[in-house]
Amino acid sequence: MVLLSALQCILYLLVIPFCIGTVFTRFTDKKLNTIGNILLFGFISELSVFQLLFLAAYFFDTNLTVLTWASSTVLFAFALISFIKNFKVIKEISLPKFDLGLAVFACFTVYMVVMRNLQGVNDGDDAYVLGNALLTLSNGHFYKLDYYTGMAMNSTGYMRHLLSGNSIFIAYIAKVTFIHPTILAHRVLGSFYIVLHNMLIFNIGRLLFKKDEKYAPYFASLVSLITIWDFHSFLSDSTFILSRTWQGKAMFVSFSIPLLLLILLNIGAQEKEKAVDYVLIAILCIASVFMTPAAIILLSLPGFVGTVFVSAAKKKFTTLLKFVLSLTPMLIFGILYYVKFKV
Amino acid sequence: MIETGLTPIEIFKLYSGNGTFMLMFVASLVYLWCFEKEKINKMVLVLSSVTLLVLFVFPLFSGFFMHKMDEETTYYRFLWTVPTAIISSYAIIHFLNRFKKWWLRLILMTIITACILIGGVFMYEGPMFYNWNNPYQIPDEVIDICDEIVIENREVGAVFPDEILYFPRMYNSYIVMPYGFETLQFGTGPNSDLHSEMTKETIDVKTLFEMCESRNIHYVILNQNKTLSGDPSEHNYEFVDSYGDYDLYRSTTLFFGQWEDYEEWLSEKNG
Repeated sequence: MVLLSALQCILYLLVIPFCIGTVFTRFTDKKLNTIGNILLFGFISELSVFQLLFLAAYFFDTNLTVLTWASSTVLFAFALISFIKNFKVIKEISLPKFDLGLAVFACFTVYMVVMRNLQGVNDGDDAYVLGNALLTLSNGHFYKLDYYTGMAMNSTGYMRHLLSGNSIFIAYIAKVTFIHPTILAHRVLGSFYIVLHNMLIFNIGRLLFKKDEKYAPYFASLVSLITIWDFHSFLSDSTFILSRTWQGKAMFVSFSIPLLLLILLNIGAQEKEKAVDYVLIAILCIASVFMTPAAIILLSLPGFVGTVFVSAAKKKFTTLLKFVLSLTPMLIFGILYYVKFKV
Repeated sequence: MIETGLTPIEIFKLYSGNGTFMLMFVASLVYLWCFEKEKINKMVLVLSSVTLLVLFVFPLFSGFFMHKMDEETTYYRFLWTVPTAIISSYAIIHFLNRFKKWWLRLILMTIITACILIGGVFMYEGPMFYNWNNPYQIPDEVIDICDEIVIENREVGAVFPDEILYFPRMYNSYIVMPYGFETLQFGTGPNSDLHSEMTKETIDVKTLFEMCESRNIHYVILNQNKTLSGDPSEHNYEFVDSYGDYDLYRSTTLFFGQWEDYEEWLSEKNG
């Protein structure tokens, strides 16, 4: 059973995202074709697909079993088609050169993962994230019972959480991997997200130091060092990244903001812009709302500000226009939030 | 969430803690503004961050989000949009890159690392981390209590002290509670009278256990540091066992069997 669970985790968290991610290698610059980027783009796509299917399942009042079948079928099909169409590009993936800097960065990453597994976190928001995941897994329905108490849902105060599919995703992964949601989130997802976050930081380093990529691992190590020593308050992004890793808000600061930065840097660096960057922004929008509804503002605003400056630097107004168009999912989610979910 | 009534500057101070990393970040912004030659990097990293920080403290903007959008307690999240660690790290490596001699870089890197270690606050010594080494990473006592009280294929009512209130339903969703994290977080929710009884230093046993029995709560878990004014066994609850700092009491009158046996149990009970 343990072996089966491990294999299922590998399938849903590594193989499927990686296969989906290869679709982007057809369109992105070669320098972005790294293992980390392919895995992250694929994982963000997986979350987006799940978010859309979850919302459909919620509005059609189906159950977790239906959502599990639908999600698995769509994700498998997407991964399979993507892999068959793109497996040739796997040979072209640019691998980082192993040197002292990369070794130091790998040590930081291992340290963060080990610490994630050595220490538990006392945080009340888990009562929602994991309480809801376990409740959904147990009774198979979405938001019929109060996840804090187990009694009939009688408070509208909960509505603000419901647009985000993260806790249902934990229930889904728990269902297909046969792992208790709390163990899954605290150990498997927590560790996986830290590794994925660090890969993203490393790839940002490669973009920032594109003339001399040997500095990228030193940059990433320094980011890790600052993150580990950044417990200046409970509110800081680093605190969320390292302590509440599996919660939506932490995922937002781990993935969405750095990935937005990576995409903006990439758009800025290109002479001829590629549509894939804007597709990625649209996918990131859906995935960010999957993490937290607050992303409707918290991703759109810095993205807009960043793109204004990129447009100004490139003297190309169309960049801003394309970015605004790629924010369409946020507009739809914004309307949905204020019409259906706002208390 | 943070308390209400804070200004953006106060929230910024709260977010920055002792301020060392924020100082490093501001120094990084100034450095990159002066020495970064890549126009895009300067625009995306420096100008965007400065704009977002200015917006954060700008009264019209902050007033709109804090008061009109009712995000006063979560307004600090706007500061997440400024990637401080990334910008500081980039500026540091950029700065070190200006020196051609490797040993000078090494010395400077050592000094900077020492500054980070001295000025920073080590995350894993933060008060939110606990050495819970079971696979679930929740308190061992909670697991032991839940294993003791759970009844297969049906729900069971239990009331827990505030400090472990949100763990039981992360472990087993068949444990039903009269109030949950919402009561703790917002001070509102169902059964607030029961919650106020549970949080008293000296617990009025008669009031608490009668309330619990009338609301079908099979188990009551009390912290041993509470003083009990009376004997629970006189109010239809028996002591089961102690688990760490907690005592477990079990109802002697409520139904613990499977639901298909309920009618039979009820008719036996009513004689």
